Amino acid sequence: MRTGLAVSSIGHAVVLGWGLIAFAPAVFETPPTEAMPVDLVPISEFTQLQKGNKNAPKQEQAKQAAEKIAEAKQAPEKEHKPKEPEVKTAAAPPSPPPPPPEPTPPPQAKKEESKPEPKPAEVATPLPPKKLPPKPKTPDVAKQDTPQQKQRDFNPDKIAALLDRRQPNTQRAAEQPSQTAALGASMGNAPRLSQSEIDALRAQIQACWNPPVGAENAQDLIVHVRVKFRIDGTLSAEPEVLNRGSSPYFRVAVESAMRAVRRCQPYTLPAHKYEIWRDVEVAFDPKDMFGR
Amino acid sequence: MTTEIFRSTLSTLGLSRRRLLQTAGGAAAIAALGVRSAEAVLKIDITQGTIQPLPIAIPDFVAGQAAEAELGRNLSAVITNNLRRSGLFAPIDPAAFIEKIQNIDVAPRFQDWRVVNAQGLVTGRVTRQPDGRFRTEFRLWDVFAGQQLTGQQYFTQPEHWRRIAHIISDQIYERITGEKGYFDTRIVFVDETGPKDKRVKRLAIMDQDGAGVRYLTRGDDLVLTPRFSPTNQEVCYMSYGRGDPRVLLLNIETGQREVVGDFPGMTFSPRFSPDGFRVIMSLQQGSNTNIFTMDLRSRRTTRLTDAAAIDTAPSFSPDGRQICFESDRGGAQQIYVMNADGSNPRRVSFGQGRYSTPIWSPRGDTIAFTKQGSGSFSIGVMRADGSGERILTEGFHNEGPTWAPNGRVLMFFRDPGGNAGPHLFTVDVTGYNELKVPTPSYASDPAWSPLLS
Repeated sequence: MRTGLAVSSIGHAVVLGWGLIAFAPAVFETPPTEAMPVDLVPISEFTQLQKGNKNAPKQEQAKQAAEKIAEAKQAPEKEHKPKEPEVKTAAAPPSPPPPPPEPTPPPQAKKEESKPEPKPAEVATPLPPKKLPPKPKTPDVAKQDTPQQKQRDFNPDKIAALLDRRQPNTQRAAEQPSQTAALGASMGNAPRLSQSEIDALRAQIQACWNPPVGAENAQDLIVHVRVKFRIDGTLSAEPEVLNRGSSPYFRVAVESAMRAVRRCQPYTLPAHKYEIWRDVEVAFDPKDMFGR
Repeated sequence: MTTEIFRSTLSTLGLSRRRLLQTAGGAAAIAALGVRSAEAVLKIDITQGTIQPLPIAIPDFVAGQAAEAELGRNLSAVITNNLRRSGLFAPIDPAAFIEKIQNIDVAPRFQDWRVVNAQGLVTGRVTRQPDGRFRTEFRLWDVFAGQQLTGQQYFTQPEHWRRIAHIISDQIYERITGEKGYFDTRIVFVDETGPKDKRVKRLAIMDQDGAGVRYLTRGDDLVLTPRFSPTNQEVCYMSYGRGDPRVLLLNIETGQREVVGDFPGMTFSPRFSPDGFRVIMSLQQGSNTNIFTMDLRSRRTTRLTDAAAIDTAPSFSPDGRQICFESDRGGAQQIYVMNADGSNPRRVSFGQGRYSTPIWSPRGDTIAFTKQGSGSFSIGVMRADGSGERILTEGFHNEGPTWAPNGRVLMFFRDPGGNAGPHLFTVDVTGYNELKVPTPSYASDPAWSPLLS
């Protein structure tokens, strides 16, 4: 038994001693972490993430289509010189207040058209005036191939006559959604008002709105008003009420909504986005105010 | 050659001419659809506004002749006062007006009124008729819309000019807020004069703005809790005459008085039913107080409660189907609601404190009450099922709420204690705009009449 005891105690001492030496506390070292670059982005840029940069190099595909159009266009321009000034002057007015009869899908794409305008004008300028007829989007794919193929096979002079008819098509080719820039894409976010601008308009109207306080049922007080603005922020026409209500408080609610809209003219909104806020439908709903 | 090119291209693509035409036709149809449905009108939701009184300009009423100039000024003053006291309007100081209204039949220069930020404008004229009556006309204009909202004319005897001012105030109030007004009403209350230990209490009646006070009793008897009839010009009240207190019915116009019923024991807190034919009150019998109704035509009484407790301060709902009352059957005073025939009494107040003097709102959705607890008296409202309890004012000693006919304003009395006496106050149902009602002396126990017109 004594040997066993001796062996056990020696064994324990060896193990503990080894442990003491082996697991000596070391200085806790922090590995150096990678610094994360932080960029402060104003909310308008966030909303317009797909807007693309004016100065970015153009993608090959878009450029290709545009270039080919330009090439082809030079032929008719040479031939029909008197038309040129017409083309150029027609291009100028669209950038500030665009002509009213234009349907709204074109303005989205048009916004993108007007942005590259200050740039190489020989590509962009002939495009805006041809916007007026509504453009079908689906046959684009089919029709796009045709002019390109023809341009490869035939020389520009021969297809000049054909291209004249297709001018609306060729612009649509330039609007094809590219992978990086949302130039002319129907789902692009760029042409909208940023969230902060919408909130600014909402705050301006809210500050002037005194909803009727008497009604017991908030549902009775919902009013939809269509408001049309001029570029300076004043109303261009009488606001129009879009819904009907049966409650006796509805008339009072309509009047308070109209008063709110009329009182706070002129509204401050970004002039370069006039197309978007020219026609606004405001829904007045005091549901958040009924704490009673 | 063009056609050759065309055909060869098509064949390369594998399209036939017919196919191409079909695609073109389909595309045109889709294009037409697409343009209509993709109308991108910007839509905004406004869900919050600001609650602020409407700035309104009320210039003096134009007088037909110089003699009526003062009357014109008085009319404007009464209307301005009414609207300001309601808390929903902010009359603009006449010193700021730019245009001087001379003729109310032409549209005013709206630009001048927009500059002073008036959203509403009231113009009026008063002219004496050959038969001695006055014709009063007014127009209410929406300044920012540039249109007239409403206009009326009234013919009255000269001494009733105040009522015309109140009627016009009601019209303006109703047109702008959508709720019925409450300005053409009267308040019956108990006027108290004298030192605290020898108070003389008289029944008095006045316009809701404090003008035209008239005394209905002489002050020999102690009078309490007067209440208006909804249909007639009658007031029922409690009087401590000889012996036990009695419920009396007083006709305001004739001054005739009659005892409602001769019951053994004391009668308390009388009120009218919504149809004006019955009086509901509480009767003490021994140690028990129960609620009874009495039909004024047949003089038949019906007992509604029979709990071994004090049930008092009953109040009908506006549709006459339910009654709320105060009872201590559960231990402390609480509010109960039962059907008009006395069935199904249920407790609705469950907060901390003692609840008393319940009164049902003319709108039918809320009950106002007095709540006593932890040293303070509060006036509050709750929904008819007891939920949504809100305290409107707190202090020592508030009691006896009464509703304005539109259910928007409450009047109550507050006794600060000590040697001073009580005064009447009004508060909006949202808890804002607490105002003192001017009375010639101390006043308590107010009751609001229904609209006179």
